[in-house]
Formats: sequence, C-alpha cells, structure tokens
Amino acid sequence: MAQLQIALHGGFADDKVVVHIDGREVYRREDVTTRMQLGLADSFTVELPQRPAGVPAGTPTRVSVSVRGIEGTADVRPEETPFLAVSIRNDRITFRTSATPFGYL
Amino acid sequence: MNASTIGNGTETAAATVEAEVLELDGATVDSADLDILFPRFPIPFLVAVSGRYVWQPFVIDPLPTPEPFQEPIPIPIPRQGPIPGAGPIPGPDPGPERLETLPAIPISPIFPTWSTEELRLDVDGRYPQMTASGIITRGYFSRIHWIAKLTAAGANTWSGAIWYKDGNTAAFPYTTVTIKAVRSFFPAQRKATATFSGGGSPNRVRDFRWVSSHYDAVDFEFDTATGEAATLDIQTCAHPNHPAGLPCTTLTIPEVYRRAGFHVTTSSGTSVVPTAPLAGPDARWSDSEMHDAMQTYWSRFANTAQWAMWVFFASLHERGTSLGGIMFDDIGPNHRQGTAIFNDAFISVPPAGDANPAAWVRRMIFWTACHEMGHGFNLAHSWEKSVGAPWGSTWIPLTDEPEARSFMNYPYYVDGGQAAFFENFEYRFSDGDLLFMRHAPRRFVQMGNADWFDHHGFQGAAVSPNPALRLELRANRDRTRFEFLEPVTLELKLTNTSDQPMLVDSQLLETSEALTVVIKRADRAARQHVPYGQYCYRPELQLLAPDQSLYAPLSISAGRNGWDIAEPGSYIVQVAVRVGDEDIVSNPLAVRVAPPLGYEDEVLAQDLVSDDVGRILAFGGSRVFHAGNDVLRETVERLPERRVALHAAKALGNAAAKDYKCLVQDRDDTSRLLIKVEESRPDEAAALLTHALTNRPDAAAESLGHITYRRSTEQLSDWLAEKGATDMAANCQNVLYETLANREVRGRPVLPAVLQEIAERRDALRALAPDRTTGGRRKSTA
Repeated sequence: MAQLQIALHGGFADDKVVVHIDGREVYRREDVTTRMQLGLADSFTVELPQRPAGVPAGTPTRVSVSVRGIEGTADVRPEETPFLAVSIRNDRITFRTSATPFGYL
Repeated sequence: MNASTIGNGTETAAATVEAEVLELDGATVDSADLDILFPRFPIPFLVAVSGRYVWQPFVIDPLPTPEPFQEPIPIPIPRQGPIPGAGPIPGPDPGPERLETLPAIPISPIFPTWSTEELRLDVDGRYPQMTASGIITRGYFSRIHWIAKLTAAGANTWSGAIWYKDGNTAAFPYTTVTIKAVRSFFPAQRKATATFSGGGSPNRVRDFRWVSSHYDAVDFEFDTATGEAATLDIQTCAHPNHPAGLPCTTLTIPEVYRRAGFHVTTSSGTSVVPTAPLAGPDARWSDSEMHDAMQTYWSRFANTAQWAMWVFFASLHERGTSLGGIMFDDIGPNHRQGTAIFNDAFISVPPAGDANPAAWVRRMIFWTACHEMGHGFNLAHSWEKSVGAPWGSTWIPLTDEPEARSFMNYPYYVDGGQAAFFENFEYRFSDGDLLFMRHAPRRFVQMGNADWFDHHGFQGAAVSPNPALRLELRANRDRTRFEFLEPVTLELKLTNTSDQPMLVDSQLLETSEALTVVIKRADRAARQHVPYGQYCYRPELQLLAPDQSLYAPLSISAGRNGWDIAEPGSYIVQVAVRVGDEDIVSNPLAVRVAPPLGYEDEVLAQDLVSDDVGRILAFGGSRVFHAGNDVLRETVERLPERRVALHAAKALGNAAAKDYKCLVQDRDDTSRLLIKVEESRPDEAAALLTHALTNRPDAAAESLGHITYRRSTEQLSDWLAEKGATDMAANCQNVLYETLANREVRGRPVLPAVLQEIAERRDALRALAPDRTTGGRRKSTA
C-alpha cells in the first residue's frame, strides 16, 4: 500500500487546517503553527487505499488543503514523490514534492 | 598574512591566531586584531579601520532634582573629551555639539546620569557592509540607535544618510553622517570623527577612539553527549565541490563568527553530557531535556541576557533523523542561548554517489552547527526573512533570500539543490545577515535578550527624520507608581506637530494592529505586549488640526503573553504606532510597581495574576470565568481600600448590569450549543459600580485613567437613566465633572472642551430628573 507523508511547512499561525486526499478527509487540526526555527508546523503520514477498479493507471492522487478559507490543490504521484510539503504565503497555498524525506535544521 | 577576496568583501587581514585577550592602551584587544595592528607589511593604508569606537566623556554627579521621571526637556549634551572630575551639567550651549532635546531620562538620587556613545564603522575588512551605526546611551534607560549607509567621500572619509533610528528619535534629528577615520598601527592613534548634520539642527561633531576591530565579544561552549564528537572545523577544500576561488584552509566555527564581526572566545568548561538518564530511555533528546542539560552542564548558564551560547552535539532529537539540528531554546524568559546538532540525523547521510562522502558529512555537520548558532543570533531562515507577525515582529519587512549562499539557507532548497549551493558557498552569512548581526540594536541580537524571532526581521523602523506626529505615552498621575496588584492603565496622546491639518483614523490609537507596545522590566528581556482582544474598526478619517491631539487609554498589565506587569519593580514601556508607511515612536515611560503591603496581598496575588482575571479585566467583565470572578469578589471584600478593588468592582458591576448572553451546551443534546441569556442583577451592579466609580472618584480617575474613568462613569449614568434613576444618573455625571475639573496632572488640567461635554450631559440628565418639589420634571438648563 502506498504512503504519502505530508509536512505543513511555513506560514501557519494558529490555523485550522483540513486536508483531503481524493475527496477523503485525512487531517483536521485547529491550532497549526509553524515553528520558525525549523520551518515546520506538523507532519503526518497517510496510507493511501487501493485505487478502485476502473481508475486508469498513472492517475495522480489529488491532495486538497484548506486553511483560512483558501483552498489549494496538488496532483502528486506518491509512488515517485512520497513526500509533500505544504506552505501558505500571501494567502496562497504552495506545494513542494520530494522523493526523499524533508530535513529540518 | 593571508589576503584574498571573497564575495563582495576584501580581506585585508585574516584573523587566524587563536583568541588571546591583551590589554592595549586601556582597550581590550584580541590577538586576531594583532594581524591588523602589526601587519607583516607595515603599510598604513592597509590597516583596516572597521570596528568599534567609543566616546565616553565623564560621569556626571547625580542631579539634585527629586522628581523620578521627567518629561523630555532641553538639556545640553556635555562637550566631548575628558573633563577632570565630575562637575555640574554645563549650561546651554548654542554651539554645534548641542542636542535640542534629550529623551526622558530617569533621574535618581541614587544612580548617576552618564553619557556614552559608540560608533561601529564597517567599510573594510571582511565583508564590508558600507555601513556605520551608533548607540548613544544616557543614563540607564535612555538609548538612541542609528544606522547609516555609507559611500566613500574622500581619503578615509565616508558619508551617507541615516536610514534607521531606534529609541527617542525626537532627540536625534540628524539625517546624515560623515565619518573621517585615522588609520594607524598604534591603537591609541586610531580615531574616527563623526559629523552629524541635517534635520534642521546645527552640526554635531564627535571624536571616537578605536576599541576593537570586532563589534561585540561572544563566548561559545561546545559540549557533547556521551560518545558524540563535536565538529568544530573543516578543510574548506576537502570536498571537491566548492567555489573555484575559495581559499583552501582549515576553517573553525569561531573563525566563521570572527569573520561576521565578533571577538570569539571558547569556554574552557567543556563537558560531556551523559545521555542516560537525561535523554530518557529512548536516548533521544527533546527540547526540554536539552534545556535542562544546558542549565546543568553549561558553565556560563544564567537566566539573563549575555553574549554567550551553548552548542551541544548529540546523536538524535526525539523527532528522529529528519531533524539535523535545532536552536531549541525558545523556552523560558531568556531565549536563544542553546543550540544542538544531531550527528546521526540526515545530515550524516551523503547523496548517493557523492565524490567524497566523508568530507560531505563533515561539511554538512559543520554547516549545521554554524546555521543553528545563527538562529542563536536571532537570524531567520533565508527564505523566511520577510515573515513577521504573528510569529515575531519586524519593524520593516525584509526581502526573502531564497537563493542566498548563506549559512541561514537550506542547501537543498535552492535551485539545483545542495550541489549547486555548495558549488558557490563561501562559508559566510549573507550581507543582510551581517547587517543584522553587526548593526541592529544589540538587544535584538544578543543571546537571552529579545525573544526568538522577535525583531529577527529588523531593518529599521520607518521613522521619518521630521515626523509630523508626536506620540506621547503618559499616566494620569504625577508619579508613575502603581500599587501592587493595581492594573496599569496608561494614556496615549498623538499630536499633529506640523503646521498643516492631517487626516488620521479616529480609532488609530485603539487599533491593536497599528500599535506595537514593548515592555521591559529591569534586567529582563523586552517583551511585546499582545492584547487579548483585537478590534477591527472601519477607518473613519478625522481631521487633526495643527497641535490637535488624539487620545486613547492603554491597559498593559496582562495579555496573551501572560501578565507583563505584575511583580514589584521598574519597567520601561514604549509604544510605536503605524501611520501610513511611517512609525511614530513614543517616549519610553518608566513605570514602577510597589511591593506588596502585607501577607494578604501576596496570598491574593497568587490567584489574581491569572489568565482568567486578565481576560475579565481586559473585556470589562464576564459571567463565564467563574473562578476569576470569585477572585475579584474576594479582592473587593478583603482589600476594599486598594486600587485593584476599583478595577475588580467595575468588572463585576459591568457583568451584573446587563442581560448576559452565554454560549452553553444543550443538556438534552450535548452536541448542540445554545445561547442562554442570564438576567441582569441591577442592585448588585449599582452597588459595585458606585463603589468603583463614585465612592472614591479621585482614586478611580487616577487608577482607571481619565479616559476610561469618563467612559465608565458615563456608561453608568446612561445605565441609571435607562433604569429611570435619572437623578442618580445626573449625580453620577456631576461627580464625574467635579472630579475631573479638580484634577491636575503635572500642572495639566483636563481639557475645557471635555469638561464642557460632561457638564452638558449632566445638565441634560438634570433636566430629565423629577423635580422633588413639584413632582414634575425640571426645566432644562442646558
């Protein structure tokens, strides 16, 4: 079973964050705040269910993030880039994918 | 002497000798400076002039004035140069070295008033920022900090505009500085003369003597967990991927920070910290475990601001291998004193196929140590420099530097990843980082001083050299002393000092977003006051005529940071208000909280100084915070003569005066919330509010502040009138009038226009009140 690790990076300040994957809610937290010396607010791993029959191979996984009434969407391929970082800046949600785990300093 | 060019800086003298402190001509000089003092080729023009200079004339005897805190008054600054013996303050001097006004200086019969000035000249040596900055200190509390961008203006001469001012800017009107330096091999002969000009003031000249080629001295202690090694140096060319022109040398962490402008010493108290039992059974370190270890094993640990840092090398953080290092110390009152590097985290895993994995790992661990220590100096990540509230504060937003080849950037975040980063990385901080470390107000940078990320984005307040507005912070009492437990309410006054009318938002001083309030207790770090409530008003522009003022109360004892002012002692409060693109900075106001009067005070304080009570007082009452209300009732009963009882009674009375809507859980269906209305308790409210506002009206006006006292009393009279008690309402309004009409603070009476408005309301209420003699209403006298 594929996994996707999602990290909430910069720009969160006591925010309510809701994350959906392919329409299924996988994360909801009320008090998400970025710790500025790491650039990290929270991270979690999602087990991705088997795709239903009929979904064409190679169809990306859709990740939707809503915070402060703003919604951002990214299509990712967890089999290639199982690490996804989400940031919010100037009322815009941005995504960064990686094949290797994110590191913090 | 090594000489090379790196980045935009010219290395005129490399500091390669281990630190050794010598005394030369009364100044502390480290041996790294000796390369500059005695270069191998003694050519005078190669001697760098960058560094720290001081001007310290003499100590003035305590002034005889008994007044503890004075308004800003014109006082001449003593002429430069030593004057034998401490003498009286010189008389007014119309010459070029006169400042028009001085900041409010606390004058104490105990402590002397003195003046020192410091100049930081940064025009050559490593990574010159073509900047000068200075600190003017008067007494213990008054400080002005300025920064100027320089360009060469002749031989050994630089000139430029002063673009940043911090402190009492009104006392420092200058807009330009010109600096002429004297180069010499001999420290006693090294000098700099600064001429300040502009701002409508006569030129002001200061002669500074050289002290050091570094800007501050800092001490590092490198400790390790059991079995771990500290990576304190590297060979810059050990890894094949490095800048083509990079000098190949052994680079140490102290040397990195010397190049940044610091005189670095390393503590001799190095320790091995036992992983067991401190790090718990998992042998991984949490932030609090490291904080505990720091307190025990750091030989210089102290809960105070100091130029010293603890650097800890361990195996892993409890977050696991994804955390390579952390400046863990955002705990307690003194942040940024401790950092940690985790040798077994991802920083010890080289990229697949790397040409020299061992050198890559050593470089990455070394880089991480310098990075985490940079956070200790309050540096933000390169891509987050512009980030301000609510994480911290910036006076002016900085520009992000996502591609910077700086210790403060993540190597793998730049275009091309870590390989591209190290291909151009010259083991340095960016110019923006260096400007902050060398020239920002020292409290922003010094470890244990300003909180982590507070002021990190410093670039300077947007202070106009000729502000059209003046912000005054004051208390409605002759001496700014507050009783123990008495909530501190001050008053803001914003005055149009220009000769033109101005449009300003009428709610400007009541909008928390526009205000920055900083509170500093003696010997503690400054804290930003964060109010419980944030009020958003639709802007309503008001015409402010020349010399006309806006007023607002300012309650600052408690907020979302907790109780900022509670313990007995001295505090300094300063406020900045944002008007358009400009910051108007107030005078610093000294506030003193008296000690408890007895055992009962101390016992009550344990319950009173709580978040519940802070919120009740901030929002003017509550029916929800039951425990807090119990404490306030106890306060009214046990300490009825004390000022805090007035505040308590007012809050309790307000909550009882009106029908109160509460959000409660539905008993039948706990998933639902209901709005329940609790009925008012008029008799209780009348008794409490009368106690608070009219029984001791002078004390109430002083303690609540004139503005809040007026608002609260008029609210009470309105409420009484609504209840049909118009005669009581009129009496209440009359008490308000008589109280304010008879008050004077430092010779200032209440404005006649204010008294007129109060009198008109009183007379209108009297007209509505039943005439006891006829049974009808009185005729209006308004």
